[in-house]
Amino acid sequence: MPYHEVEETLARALTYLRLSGIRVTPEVARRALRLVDSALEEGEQRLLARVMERLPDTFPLPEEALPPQTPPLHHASVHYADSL
Amino acid sequence: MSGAGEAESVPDLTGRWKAVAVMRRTVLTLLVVGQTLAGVYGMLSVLPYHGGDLLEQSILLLFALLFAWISVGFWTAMLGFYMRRRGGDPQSLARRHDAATLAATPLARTALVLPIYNEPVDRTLAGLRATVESLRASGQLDHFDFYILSDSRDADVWLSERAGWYALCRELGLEGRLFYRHRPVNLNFKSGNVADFLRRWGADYRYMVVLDADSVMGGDTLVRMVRHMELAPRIGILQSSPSLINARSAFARFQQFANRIYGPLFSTGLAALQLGEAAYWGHNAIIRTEPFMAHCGLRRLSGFGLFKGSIMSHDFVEAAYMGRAGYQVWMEPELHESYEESPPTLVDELTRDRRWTKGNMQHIWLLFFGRRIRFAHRMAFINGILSYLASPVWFVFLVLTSIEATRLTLWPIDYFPDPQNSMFPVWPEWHPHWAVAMILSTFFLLFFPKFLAVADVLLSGGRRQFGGFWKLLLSVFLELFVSMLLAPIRMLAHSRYVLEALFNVSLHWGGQNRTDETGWLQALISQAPGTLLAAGWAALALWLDPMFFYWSLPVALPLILAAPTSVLLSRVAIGRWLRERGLLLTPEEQRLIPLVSTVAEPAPLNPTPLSAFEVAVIDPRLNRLHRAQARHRRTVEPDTLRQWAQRCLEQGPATLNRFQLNALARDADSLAWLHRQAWRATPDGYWGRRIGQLGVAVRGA
Repeated sequence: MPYHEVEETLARALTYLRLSGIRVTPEVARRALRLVDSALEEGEQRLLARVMERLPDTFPLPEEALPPQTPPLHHASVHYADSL
Repeated sequence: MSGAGEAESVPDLTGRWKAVAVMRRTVLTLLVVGQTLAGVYGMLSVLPYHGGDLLEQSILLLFALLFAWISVGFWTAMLGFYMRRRGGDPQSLARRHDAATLAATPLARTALVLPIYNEPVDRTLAGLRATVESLRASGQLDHFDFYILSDSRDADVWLSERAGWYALCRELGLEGRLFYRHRPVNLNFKSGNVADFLRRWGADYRYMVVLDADSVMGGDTLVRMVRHMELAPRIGILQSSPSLINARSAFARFQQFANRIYGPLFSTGLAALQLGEAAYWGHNAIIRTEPFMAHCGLRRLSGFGLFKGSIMSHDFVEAAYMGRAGYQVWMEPELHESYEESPPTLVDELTRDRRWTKGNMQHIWLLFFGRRIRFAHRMAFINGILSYLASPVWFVFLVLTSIEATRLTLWPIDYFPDPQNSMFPVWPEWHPHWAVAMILSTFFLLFFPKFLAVADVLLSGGRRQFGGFWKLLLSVFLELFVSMLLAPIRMLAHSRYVLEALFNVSLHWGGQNRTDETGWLQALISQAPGTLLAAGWAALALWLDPMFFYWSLPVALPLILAAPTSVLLSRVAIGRWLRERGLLLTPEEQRLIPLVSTVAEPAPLNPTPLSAFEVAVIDPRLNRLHRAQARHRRTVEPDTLRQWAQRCLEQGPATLNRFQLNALARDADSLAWLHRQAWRATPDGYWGRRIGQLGVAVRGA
């Protein structure tokens, strides 16, 4: 397997973690390396897909509470005059 | 919900304004009619046959209309100058309550609503942020909620808006106070957008402040507006008079300067004439929601052509309906810290005017068939209609005067122009000194108010705010020159728009696309008809009579030069050059006003090279946000969605049309599937490359 595929897989995983709000510390990087390593031990096929599938189990992704997009509805009517 | 008589049950403690309004409007009418009669008399002397035939009578009629129109502007400015010099209008709302009374008035729940439609998201949300921060600084933020009401149709725009809303909520700590509602069907344009808000949440608020996409308002001003409304329950709408800010192109800087220096005079005069029967301009205004909901629903027009369907320019109509229900509508020029922006180029302004012309021409129907609408509001309709109709009137006036000149030169003299009175011959007379006097008096009516505005600034000690006396004077002359260059171009464009509107057709010629700066090719194409027409007219005039040629130049030359004028005025570099030399300065540019400076160059919400749709697919947090807000009702079959998603995955979103992209972006399952698949895509595939680019941007940040 070409070396750059492993490198790209690791880079992809770290990018995902960053975008998910996880700060990439040396510890996080080591865990990511271990994840790639364990996926690699299972074979070279679909390495990237396997790593991305397992990423959420290895790194519990923070789920921030989302603000309500709209408040509860409070229905009322807009009235129209009988004529212009 | 209250009925039409509800406003009458609220005591009107300041009813004297009505008598004052009648008196002022009567005086204005007398002045305008007197001045117009004098003008017509002068024109009679100028015309060779002294109005003795149909052609000259038509010229006189059009002249009377145009002269009356500019007389109204002249006397409005005079009144504004008088009111400003005496320290403000004693009848105005600003003079009604002292600062202590206002400060002691409790606030009521108010919604700030921001209806948007495919607007530049960075600038729009920067304006909202500035307004929120200003309200926070006023200490009264808790009384206000904020609604972004999107009618945007492109997935890339509304996904970007939603991402921006989310970021703004977090940044400002306004979760649960700042809301975003996207309407997939744009029923009844902007008024339908606001009506949709009112049906859902209007009952929760006593007031709503309507903002435009480029609006910025100061917190203290908003608080004052709410307090004025609380102190005067008969007021249905209170309109502020926005100043223009953040102009960068030369065109926008000229507009901004004109608005800032002449605007106060005209708006004070207008407010003094309208008093409690003012117009609503659609934004930067506070509205009492209950009567608005009870009385201001807009019926579809039931006529023909243009006069059938939704009302496009809703604001004047809503003010008229509010007045019909017994509520007052005030415009208060002394409400400062109310801002908006100018279109950056002439092309943008004319594109906007095209919409506004249609909207205002529609008001002809309401003018005649609107029932129980107050006379003052009918006059506001006429004012709006004439703002555009004056252009074709001027155009026809020029055509008729050209025919008159042609007749005098080429045709034999008609000694008996009036068949009813053919006993005595009429000798055509030409009095150049009368013609010069007429031109000078017209120029006086047009330009004297501008110099009066300068005098007002000087007398108020504000010259330094405009760069000092000499730079102010030079700026005014520059503005006069540019406004004379633009007037014939606007006249021709507005004439076309009026024709389009009245005949309900679209007369296209190229180059009306919104751009940052106008390109030469675009300008040459879009201005070609006017340039050719003016060149032909000037050539005809030269052939007829060199004197007539010289008379035609003030109109013909700007039209011939329309393309370079349009291009050069759109240039930001020229705008910057003017500013660096202290020209066309405004007070807001001279001193640092945080409210204004924060929206001047907003940071991009999406600094990556990816589209908002691509970010929504890739970014885990935003993908989760969009999935959470996705609609549960599906309008497209799951199998079809999956086919589109598959194509999007393999070839990218550019292979899908707007409908397909909107459908995918609104579907939680499709977004989740695309997210999952994109992150598993090979690095050299479409999504792999996009993730690589996003990764670089994230690491860079």
